[in-house]
Amino acid sequence: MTDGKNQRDLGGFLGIGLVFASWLIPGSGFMVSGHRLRGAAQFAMVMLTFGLGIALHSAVLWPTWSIRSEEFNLINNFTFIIQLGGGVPAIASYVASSSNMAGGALVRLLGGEHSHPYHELGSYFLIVAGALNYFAACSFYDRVVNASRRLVPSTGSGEAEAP
Amino acid sequence: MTTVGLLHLGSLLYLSGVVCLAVSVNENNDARVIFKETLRRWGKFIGVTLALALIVHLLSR
Repeated sequence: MTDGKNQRDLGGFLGIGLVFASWLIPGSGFMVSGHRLRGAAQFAMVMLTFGLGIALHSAVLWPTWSIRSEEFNLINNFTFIIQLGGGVPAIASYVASSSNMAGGALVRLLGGEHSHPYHELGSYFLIVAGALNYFAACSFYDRVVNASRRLVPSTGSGEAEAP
Repeated sequence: MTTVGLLHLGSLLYLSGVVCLAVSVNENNDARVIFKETLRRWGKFIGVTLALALIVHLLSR
C-alpha cells in the first residue's frame, strides 16, 4: 500500500462527507482521496465477506425494538446495527428482506431465506462485513480527514510493534 | 464430517483471516509487511482457538 499521499488533511464538510461516502460504498473515501490500493483492498474485503453472507441465504433483518415484546432480543438489535455498517449493500438487503416487493433473482437473493439451515452462519459474515466497513471508515477519518492529529505518523512502512 | 461442520471450519478460517488482514491493512503501508503481519496475527488467532478447543475437548470427556 505504498500510496503515501496520506498526510493531506481534509477537514470540514468535505471530510465528513467522504467518511459518510466511505460507509455507503466501502473504500470509496480512500479511492477519492488518492489512496486507491487501500480503498480497493477495503472494498474487496467488505464486499467479498458480504457476498459470502448473502450466498449463505442470510439477510439484514429488522429486529424487535420494543422491550415489552416477547420477541425482543438485545443481541438481534446489536446484530442489526453492526450489519448496517455494510453500507449500500446492507441497506439493499434490508429493503429486500423487509418489503414484500416482487423482484427478480437479485431481490430474492438479497432478501435471504429465513428458514435455510445456513441463514445463521451467513449472518456472521454480514456482521463481520459491517464491522470491517465501520473500521475502514474510522481508519479513513484517522488517516486522511484528521491526519494532522495522528499520534503515530503513517509515512513509513509502518513496522511499529503490533498487538 | 458433515458439510455443515466443514462449512463452519471454513468460515472460522476465512473470517479470522479477513479480520487479521483488515487490521494489518489499517496499520501498515507496505504490502510485504501487511502480508507478514496478517500471517502472524492469523497464526496466533488459530493457535489460541485450537488451544481453547483442546481444553474444552479434554474437560468434556
